[in-house]
Amino acid sequence: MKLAKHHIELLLLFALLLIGMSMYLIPVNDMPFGDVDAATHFGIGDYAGTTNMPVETLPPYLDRAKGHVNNHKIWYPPQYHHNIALLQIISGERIIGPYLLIAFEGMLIGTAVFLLIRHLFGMWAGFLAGILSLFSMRDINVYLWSQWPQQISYFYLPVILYTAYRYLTSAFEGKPKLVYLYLTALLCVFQYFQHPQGLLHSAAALGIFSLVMIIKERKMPFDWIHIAVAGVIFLVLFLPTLKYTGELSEQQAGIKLGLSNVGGFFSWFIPQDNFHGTPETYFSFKDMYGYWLIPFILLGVVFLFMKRDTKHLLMLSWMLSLYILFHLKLFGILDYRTHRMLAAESHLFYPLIVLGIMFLITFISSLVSAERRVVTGIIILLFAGMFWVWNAQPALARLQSANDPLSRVNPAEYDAMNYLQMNIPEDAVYLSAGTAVYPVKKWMYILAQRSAAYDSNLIGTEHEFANLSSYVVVDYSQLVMLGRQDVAQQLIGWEQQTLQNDTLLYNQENIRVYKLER
Amino acid sequence: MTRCSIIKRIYGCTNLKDKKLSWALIGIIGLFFLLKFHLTGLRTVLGFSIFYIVPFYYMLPMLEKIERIIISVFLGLGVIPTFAFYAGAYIGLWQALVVCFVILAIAAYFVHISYQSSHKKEKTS
Repeated sequence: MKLAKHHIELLLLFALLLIGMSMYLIPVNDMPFGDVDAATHFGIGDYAGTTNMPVETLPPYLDRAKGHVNNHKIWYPPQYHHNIALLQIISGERIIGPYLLIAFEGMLIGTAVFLLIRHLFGMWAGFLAGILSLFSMRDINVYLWSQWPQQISYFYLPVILYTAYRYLTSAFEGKPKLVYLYLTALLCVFQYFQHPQGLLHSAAALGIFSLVMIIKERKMPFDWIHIAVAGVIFLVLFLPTLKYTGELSEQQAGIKLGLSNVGGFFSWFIPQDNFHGTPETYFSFKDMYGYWLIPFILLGVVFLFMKRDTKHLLMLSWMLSLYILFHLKLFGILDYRTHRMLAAESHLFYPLIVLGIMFLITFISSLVSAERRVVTGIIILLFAGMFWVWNAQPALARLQSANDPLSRVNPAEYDAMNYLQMNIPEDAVYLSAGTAVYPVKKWMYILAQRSAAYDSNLIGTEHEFANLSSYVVVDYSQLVMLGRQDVAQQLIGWEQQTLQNDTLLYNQENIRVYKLER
Repeated sequence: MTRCSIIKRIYGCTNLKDKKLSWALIGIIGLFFLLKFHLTGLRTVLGFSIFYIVPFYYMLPMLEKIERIIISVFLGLGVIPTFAFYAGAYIGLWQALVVCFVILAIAAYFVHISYQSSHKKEKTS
């Protein structure tokens, strides 16, 4: 039985989904994971989901913790966090439902790249680019560090490039397919809804590609009425959400026009003086890809410059847009956000690697007398073997590393936080004592939906909210897991001395909650 | 129009072989989530597909299958929370989700019908 092409494509998409899900679900279980902003992103959606009401003004415990940033309002358009809330409602479960969405969104780059590259260079090239993208170490890191809204926003870009390409090529042929134009407008605004930064990338890539095409074809194929309709669709949806990002965008753009470090134009990405809390490995090509992939990327670029057809120009425009965005800081624009833009790089690099492989196959086939199919098989097998050892295995190990139980809230802590959520006043503040791992402290107050006084010390008495505390959570569960009997003894001493006159409300699984009587 | 013909119209957008393959793949995905996350997993994947993907899939009959599936996901992630956010302030989030689904399903039905009839006209002319 011979399968039709569209059946094979459907099977390839299914394979991508299944491989992606198998990978990105590795860290998902019934306790939440994620460092840095994970707790906050989850927390906004969680509050909306548990109250069944949209969140426009931050819940009091988050507003207090964030220092009343953005005039008490959420600081992104609301869509990303409300998807988390809706998945909580759909799944009927607080943690797993939202995390299945987060994992699904995390692997969407594979399908987005597949859609674009399949149309430009064929389904097998699309499939290979999709698979390689799933193993992108930088995306896996971003997923585990939980810059989820920015990540999904970037994942819209290949899809936007696809719809825009379909519209533009049809318009230049004199038969404009308007559905693609309107889809482009809608997808751009939905990209902005997830996180504003992605739209900057789309605007740059689409602007450059349109310009290149107009110069190449020496005509303006657009019907301005259609463009105006698309613009109106975009603006009607876009403008009402500006109020959530306006104030912060101004602060973060930090525009100080001027030209500095001209030598920086000769690097793809300018070495950072300030990592903004991001590990140094994130900026290292060796750690994110491995030097062995450089020749393939370069071959891919050479291939594009040699061909210079419409589809090749699209890829080159995408590359140029990234270069410009990476170098905006040299003009004093968006210095603070440049390191975040690097997260969009691999979405271009993996397709370039595939083009490099295609180029290599063509080149070697022209040199040797063997059949092209044999050459293709040998090169793909060799590449797959090396990619498995040097890229895929470390990527899987990185995903596995998120399963360290000490990096997460444990079931005892989860139960105690549920108790706080149900039993103490909404504006109450609790003092955190005994919880050893810093990110877990953040997760605990988010799950309790109450403010907490906590810092890097074992007991948060030096935190600015400590004096506001009317409850104390004494948590021995992590110290037991760590085997730190000595620290636990000190904490017992502190508890007996400090809390002897206070009321014990909760005492289960090595966690006690007191109400302070003063 | 009888109920049977409405179902046929909606369901008849793909040919039989496609349908068998699609159902088999959907079944495998459902089973995957059932085994890994039990009923919560199955409920989530089914709910997400029904609320976030299916209405847009049927709203884009002019696109080819792979495009429809992938673009529907990206549209769903933008449209559903937008509607839920604005309508949810008045009626609550889950109620807004249901209302949104009903509106989109009706819209998808009419888009589909008008596309099919215009397609037929093109063929006959």
